[in-house]
Amino acid sequence: MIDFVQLGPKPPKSNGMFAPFRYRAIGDDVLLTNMLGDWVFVTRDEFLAMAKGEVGVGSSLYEKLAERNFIRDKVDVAKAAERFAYKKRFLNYGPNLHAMVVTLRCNETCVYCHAARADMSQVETDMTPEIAEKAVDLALQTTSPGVTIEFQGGEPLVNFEVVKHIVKYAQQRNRAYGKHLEFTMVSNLALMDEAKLKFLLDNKVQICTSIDGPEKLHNKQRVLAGGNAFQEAVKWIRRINREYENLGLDPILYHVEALLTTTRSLLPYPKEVVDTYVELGCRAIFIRPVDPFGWAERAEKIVEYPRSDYMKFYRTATDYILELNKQGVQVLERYAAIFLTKILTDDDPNFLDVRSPGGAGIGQLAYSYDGKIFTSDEGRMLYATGDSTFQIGDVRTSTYRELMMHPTVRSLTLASNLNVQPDCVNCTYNPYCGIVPEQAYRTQGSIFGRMRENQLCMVHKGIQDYLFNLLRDNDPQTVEILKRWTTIRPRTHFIQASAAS
Amino acid sequence: MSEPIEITFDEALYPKDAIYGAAYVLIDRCYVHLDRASENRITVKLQPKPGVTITAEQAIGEFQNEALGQAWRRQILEENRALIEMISSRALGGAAGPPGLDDLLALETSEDTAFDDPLGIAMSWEEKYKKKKPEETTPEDGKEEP
Amino acid sequence: MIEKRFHSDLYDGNAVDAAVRVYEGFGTFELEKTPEAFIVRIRANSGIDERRLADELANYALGTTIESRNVAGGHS
Repeated sequence: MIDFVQLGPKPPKSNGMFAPFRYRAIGDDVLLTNMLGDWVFVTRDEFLAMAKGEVGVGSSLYEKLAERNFIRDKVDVAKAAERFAYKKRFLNYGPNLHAMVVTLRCNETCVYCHAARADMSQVETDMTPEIAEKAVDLALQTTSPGVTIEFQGGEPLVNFEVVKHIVKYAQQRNRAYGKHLEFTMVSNLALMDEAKLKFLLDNKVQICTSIDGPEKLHNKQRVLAGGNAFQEAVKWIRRINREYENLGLDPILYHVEALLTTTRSLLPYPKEVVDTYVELGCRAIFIRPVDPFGWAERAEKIVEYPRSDYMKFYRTATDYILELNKQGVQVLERYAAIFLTKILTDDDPNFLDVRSPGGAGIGQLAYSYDGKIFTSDEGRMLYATGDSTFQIGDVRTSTYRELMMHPTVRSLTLASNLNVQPDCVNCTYNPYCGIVPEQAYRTQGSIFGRMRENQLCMVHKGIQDYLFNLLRDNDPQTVEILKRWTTIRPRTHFIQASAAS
Repeated sequence: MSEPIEITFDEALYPKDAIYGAAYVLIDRCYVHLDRASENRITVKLQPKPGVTITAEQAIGEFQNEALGQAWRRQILEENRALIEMISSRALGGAAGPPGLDDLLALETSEDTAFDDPLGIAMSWEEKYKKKKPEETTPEDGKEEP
Repeated sequence: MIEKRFHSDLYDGNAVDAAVRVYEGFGTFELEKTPEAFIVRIRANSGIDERRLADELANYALGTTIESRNVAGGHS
């Protein structure tokens, strides 16, 4: 139990000086945050003075707090309202991310893969062009001005004909809708060839792949029958990056993004993982913990680990990334960048798992190969294990409004509002954080969950503790790097041209 | 199968709905039975199902934590109702967008139902949140009429 | 024979009836209504674990009670 304030015989008297705030110990200091996401560090003695009502008007502490909107009389309410509305502007729009699972077939076998994977012979798990068109029609009806269609699987290159069809159909239909339309593909790249690459480049499809650390580790958990999964991925990463340069695109901004899934076998090798990414020319590493969806129990025993182990890995890897930055290597950690954008700016990167309310349904939809629609890809993966809780419709029968008004979407919107959650409502990180109701449901039995025992909460708190410790240390070079990580440079090359009527 | 464990909850601290909520969260992994210990006390008997790896002690611990969370959440919802409604309405309204012609045509309205107000939209904020304006006091309250 | 007592303040009578119907193929059931509770006396068929049958039936009754409260507008 942390003893913040020594209570005397009389309870401290509140003089109404302070605007509402939350607090948390960070090192020897106390971090205060407010509803707008403003933050300030005070010493323990300063915090005690605040608690006792002994902060003098005009004192240095008073001025420090006033500057950051912690003094009630000094808050410009109109400006605060404007800032709050700006931060929450994503609430004005519907789903921008539309994940299209074009097939369940996959040519690789990954140790952490979800039960939704199918063998290469199971062609019945391919999305048809008819289903694809209906999915695109629904996606373009979103109230969001931007639409990102993300091709997933299985391995999407297995059903490349439908990928092409979706791209062409969406481009054509978007002439009427005028959305900022983008395409991305998450692929292991092992089935890439020159013809496919030409199509993807000509049609500006962003390409992401998975790299699970150095070759030996990667191949141990991602098995390509008759081949070398790592070498195939690296070959095509380099090829694609070369093509972007040939197009005259800035390699800092345009390159294949790689995603990391931190499994137990990677935990002893944080620096080696970072080095692998840097060597491949990646500018971002997303150090994500393994997720709990759809595994066989056998896989869980191999892959899972306590989140305290993950946090150790995360801190070591990110410390190393910061060291590389100080040596001039431009690479960021994505999770940190997401939180830092919300901590250091009034912007919101709209990362759907780290916002309140979360993105299930209202921020993203997942369309299965057979036309079923889910609140998220996590919801779709739960369906593959026999749980249809998060299915909200079907492309053949559902209208867009029906999907958005679905009781499940309403429930998830409520459940992912941090102001509803017992722990989150008082948490210092409330302005920056988010929960994933599907994850709570899967691991704790309800869409609300219990945050004190929730693994994702542990990760989010752990990362924010790490970042605020760095901000408290206030090393100028580190802070400059962290600020640089918040710069959002749009990759406009990938936005499809359109002509709205 | 481990032996069942019993625990009793005071309804003043754990409303019935919180007990139900906690029971429902565990009902896939445990056998849960409720009984009345007295007018304001509910007894919960829990036993993990065969094949489930948690112990009865863990199950009852989880039940207690879940019941606490559920009880507190009800309170938070009441205290923050206005803010939560505002954010949820904005989120769902923003996502759904305005109704289209098909949606409006699908609405069943007639002279009898046209002025129904099931969502209380026409209700004033004061009426909805039960705040009384000063001029609504009556002579029975002991105050003189102006 | 196992006797399960479902307090009428905590269980919905219709839910208890529904539970008995769901499991009727696994045993014989005798129902009684007292001022305070619904009583179900359970005799499992041969080869059926009577304890387990009683527990599964009770879970079903509780789950259905809770679900019917939500549908009827109880707190979520």
